[in-house]
Amino acid sequence: MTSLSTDLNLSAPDDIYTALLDLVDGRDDQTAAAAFAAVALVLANHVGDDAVVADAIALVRHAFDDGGPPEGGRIFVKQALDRFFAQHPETGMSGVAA
Amino acid sequence: MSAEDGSPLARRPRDRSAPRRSGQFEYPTYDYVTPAEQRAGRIGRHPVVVVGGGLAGLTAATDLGVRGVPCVLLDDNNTVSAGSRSIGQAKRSLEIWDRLGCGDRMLAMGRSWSKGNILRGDKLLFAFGLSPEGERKFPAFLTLPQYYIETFLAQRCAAFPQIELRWLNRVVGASQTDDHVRLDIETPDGVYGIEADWVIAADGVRSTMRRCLDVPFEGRGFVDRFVIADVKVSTSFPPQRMFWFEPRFIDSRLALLHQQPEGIWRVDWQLNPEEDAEEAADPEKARARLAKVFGPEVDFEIQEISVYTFDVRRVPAFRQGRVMFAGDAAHQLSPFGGGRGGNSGVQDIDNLVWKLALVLDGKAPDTLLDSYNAERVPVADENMALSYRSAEFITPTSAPSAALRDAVLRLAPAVPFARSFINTGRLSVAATLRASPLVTPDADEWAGPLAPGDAPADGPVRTATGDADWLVRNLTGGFTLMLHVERETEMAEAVGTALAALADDPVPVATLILVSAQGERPGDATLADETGQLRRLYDLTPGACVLFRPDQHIAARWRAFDIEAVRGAVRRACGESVT
Repeated sequence: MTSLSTDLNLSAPDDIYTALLDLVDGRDDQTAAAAFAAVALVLANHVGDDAVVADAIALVRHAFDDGGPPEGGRIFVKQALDRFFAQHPETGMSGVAA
Repeated sequence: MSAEDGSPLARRPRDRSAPRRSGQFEYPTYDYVTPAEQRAGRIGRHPVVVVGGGLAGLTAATDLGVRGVPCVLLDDNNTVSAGSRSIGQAKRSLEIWDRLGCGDRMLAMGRSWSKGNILRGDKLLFAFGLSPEGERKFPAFLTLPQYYIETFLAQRCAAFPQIELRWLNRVVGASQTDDHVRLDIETPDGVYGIEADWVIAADGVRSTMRRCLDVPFEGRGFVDRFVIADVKVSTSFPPQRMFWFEPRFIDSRLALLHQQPEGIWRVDWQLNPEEDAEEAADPEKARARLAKVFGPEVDFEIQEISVYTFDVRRVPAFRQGRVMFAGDAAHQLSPFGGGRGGNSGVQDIDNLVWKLALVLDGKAPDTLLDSYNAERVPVADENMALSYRSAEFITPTSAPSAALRDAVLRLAPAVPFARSFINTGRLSVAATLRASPLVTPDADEWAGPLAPGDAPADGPVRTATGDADWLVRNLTGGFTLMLHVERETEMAEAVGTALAALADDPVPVATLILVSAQGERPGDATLADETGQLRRLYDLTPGACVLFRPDQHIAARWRAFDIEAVRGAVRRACGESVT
């Protein structure tokens, strides 16, 4: 019983990305979406573990509920930077100097 | 990284209120002097003429200066590149300029950044560090605008009497025979002609040399338009590279912020399809737009703003007879390619000049110059492929491509592997030449990250006089053999004699003895690897040696010293056929 791996397992992710783009190159949008889905089906079958595939689907569902385009109105760049550095104290920076 | 050159659609100079300066930087004005042969009304003949006084051209002139080769550099302007050009100087470029005597000034003036953040709106997708492998003199990237680099190099050239920088000398015609290149040059005094044994064509994206010699520039253009602005701002932010997809502070799909020295921010953003390029670069309209970005509390002043598209192209061969194409004249890359434009031009020159010097000196056949093509074209191709990939990620050209990118951006905050797919430009690293015919393949077993053909790995050393220093700084421009022994006293006398003989060869090989710790009376050429970093990176066992080329790349290595093996590797690196 293995669990879903979310760390990088590929040696050349940029090559995989390019190969996926090549797969849909020149196809219309619906066919392209179908081709991406077909890759998902092939890989799900290769994994062959219902629980892992279900975990993958749940992970994507969660990411898509949560990770869409940004919301909120327009702010100034200083606010954007201040907010970022305040939210990420691990950067060791306190924000924009006055 | 930021825009190299691109194809400006609209460019406005710095604010009229601040003419001829960027921040504290005052643009130099170089004196025009009527060229000697123009005054005398005769045709001069020069061993090397460099066309173009940008990053690549001035690096070439300085390298020729260091190597004692006479050279004339022709530039159509009388100052350095105005703002909005290369700002991200890679570690390898800095090492090259350090070899030319300018590294310390650049390090002191530039700002290094070691962290990059990629956001979508407010959300951090990915933070990455540029953590070096061990200690080394230069950071992975230094933010220092091109105009500083060019100024330092032009000043350095003044130290070499055989280097002549000719300003306001514009090439208007070029042709070549088997024997020489003929150039027609326009100056304020009219047109004159010169002949050159060799020409380095470093005259940029819109190269006149390319046009005159009818050399094609193959590749393709991209339709997306970007704005690049150098803005003096009254506040600063932490020294980190900030990249936003869908930023909240500007109406654009993406924005990139870098902090340059002296309070200047580099701001890049993508122009929306319905926007007009001329309008975007109009100073008043740009000021109004940036006022909405910075808000009322922040003072700012636009130093330079331009709108550009970019092409990704290269010439079919970098060597065209007696003309060597380099830098943007040879290859044009995406400005978001990770700082590969300017930096790869500097590496072109580093690869070319020592070969040219050996050929001019009669110590290598002129076929050695074919290896410039063989070694640098694959690097350009790799850079072009990377440019295409990052351009497609940053500005997808189809709905499925946009969907694939959206999948990555949605997964990235929570799913670690997805972050590796985010491609906002793979940052420039030193090129490896492992497949080059000049490189001697390993005969022994080696571990560690390095292989023949690679650029050198740097590390701290202790000199014979007890000073802290760096290895790469000690690889000073000729062939250098680094031999490792635990203690200098353990080196056999016969080895010492052989090393002395190598120094007297027609193509001399200098020696550098790398010991684990300095002895009581160390020799001048002795460096101590006290931390063990160099032994680890180079996988050195006692007696092992590494041969560096004049451009510091590793030519060959052996577990044990053998003078004839070293000589064979030097001949091979000099382009002599190997039996």
